Amino acid sequence: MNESTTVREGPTAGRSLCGSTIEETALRVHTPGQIAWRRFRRHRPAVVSIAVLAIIAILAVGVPVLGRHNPIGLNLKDMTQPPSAQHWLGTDHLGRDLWSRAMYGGRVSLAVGIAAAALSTIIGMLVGSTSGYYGGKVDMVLMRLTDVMMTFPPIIIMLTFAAVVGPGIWNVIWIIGGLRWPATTRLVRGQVLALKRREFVVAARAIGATDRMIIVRHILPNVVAPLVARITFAVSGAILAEAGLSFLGMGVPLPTPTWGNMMEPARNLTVLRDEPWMWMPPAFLVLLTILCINFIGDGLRDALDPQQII
Amino acid sequence: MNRYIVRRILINIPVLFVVTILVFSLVEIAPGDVVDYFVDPDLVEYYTEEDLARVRERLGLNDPAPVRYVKWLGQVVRGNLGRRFVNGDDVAHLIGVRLKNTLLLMATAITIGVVVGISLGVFAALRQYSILDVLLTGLSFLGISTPAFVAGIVGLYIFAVKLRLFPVGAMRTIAQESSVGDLLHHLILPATILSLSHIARNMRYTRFSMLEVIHQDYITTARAKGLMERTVVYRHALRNALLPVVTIVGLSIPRLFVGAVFIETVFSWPGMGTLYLAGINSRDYPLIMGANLVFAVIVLLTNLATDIVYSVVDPRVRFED
Repeated sequence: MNESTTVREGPTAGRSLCGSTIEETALRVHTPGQIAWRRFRRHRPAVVSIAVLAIIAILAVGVPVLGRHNPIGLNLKDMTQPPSAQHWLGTDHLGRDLWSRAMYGGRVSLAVGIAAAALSTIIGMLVGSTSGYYGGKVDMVLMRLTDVMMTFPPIIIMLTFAAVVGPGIWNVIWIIGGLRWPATTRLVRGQVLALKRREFVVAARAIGATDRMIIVRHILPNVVAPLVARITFAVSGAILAEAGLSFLGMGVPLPTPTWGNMMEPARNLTVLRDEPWMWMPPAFLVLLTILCINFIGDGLRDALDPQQII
Repeated sequence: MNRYIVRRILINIPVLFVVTILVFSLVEIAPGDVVDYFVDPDLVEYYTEEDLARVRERLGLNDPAPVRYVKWLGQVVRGNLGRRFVNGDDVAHLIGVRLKNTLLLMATAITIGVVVGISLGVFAALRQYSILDVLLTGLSFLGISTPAFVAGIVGLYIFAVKLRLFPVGAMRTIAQESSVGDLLHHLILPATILSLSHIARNMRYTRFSMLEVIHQDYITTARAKGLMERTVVYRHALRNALLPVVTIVGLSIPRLFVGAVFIETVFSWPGMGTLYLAGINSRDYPLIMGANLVFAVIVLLTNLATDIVYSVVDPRVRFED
């Protein structure tokens, strides 16, 4: 049992570790994971968000079983219908069932968001740890590169790349993941800079560990806590970016539904005014999903990285 | 002071340089042959390979990329961003016209965001953990999480389509003499919606910063001296609490551009965002390059301005390094 991981429950936790609490030898020992989980559970919106997000994810993944209509198949008999018992969310201009499309769209939106966030996190960790660990010229060059990336407003540079490489699910993932790494990079770099002077890293070097081993085994595991919240926000950011690109007609192309391209018709005033059932559900779902993920990120940050408040 | 500013400016020059290289490279990696844009599509079948080669030679497309880059940069420095592929319009002139409209939209949104955001932040901080504070903090979370296009469409639907309080788009009423009142009528809704996430962000940071300051010793001292609560809050606390907010406002410019692209699209606002999208949709590279450069330069300039303003309001940063 490690004394340093021992923290009591209650509001005075941490503060009264030494001194008055010593007599409580029946101290229950909690791993950092358990402590974090306890803190996370106290964040009500985050817990509710997990439940809501789970429902959305189950519907999105289970839609081949639950869906009664083909999300891509045309049905010119049932064009432009408001919600009914037959079509719960109505149909679009080509008679496609909007409930099925919203659920399939969720699947695509979530998958693209997670894949793009994974890509940007990997790039951010590679660049950030290299930059922070080696410092000097390497750091200078990589940080100036990050500055350059941050000089372009995000959606603008994404649209430019989308224009160059063309639309498509994979292109969207590459574009979003490939352009959204600077924030993660900055975070990882800062952490690595602080960690690399700590005793355990010096000790690892003294026993002859290679740079790669030190970074992967000793430094990166300690970056995980602040990184977890960052990754959550990366997912919501990527979902937002995909929806934005698709809304502007430069993301995932039709007929594949995503929440973003389902909202595209609302740019037309007639659809906006007379056929609100077409754009309201995807708008609501995007907002709800992003809100939930951000709440979870907020809860994770409170739980894992209490110094960070905003 | 001056040395600090000069250093800030010097740091930005290599960044700007790399930005131009990146913008230029975009067209290099773009698929397709640029010469196609200079040939009338109806007549392309009558062009022989030799004709095309001659056009290439005349346009300097045969030069190696670095040579073309230097030539292009020479033109850009003189303010010439080339002509649109689509209709031959002068890109620099067009961007100048549209940029004014976007800046009007953004400046209004920033003003609303700063005034309302900071006021709400102070208001919430002074009532920490009260119902109003919890409510405002919750709303600010919603404000930060709402995508600009969702806010834009819902706002347009409620306030312009359903309640008919505002026009459904554009900058002025068609077939009517343009007037300030008419412009304002068209401006208020998109600018307010654009400012929502900034109100939320400014509010959160002001609240947080205010709460940090208000527990400092010098605030206790000011109270102990018997100063009025109002003097303590506004003279002593707020002035210091606003320091970090300066940076937040300055750094929100790129985000505002992103929001502006969506809001302009939803509200058919004739600004940089809609112009840029038109360029993207028609793969109009001179326009895309020009717009990217202008966006990047504005972001760099506002970052620089933020640094300088911050060094004026908080002289400590100048002496740090």
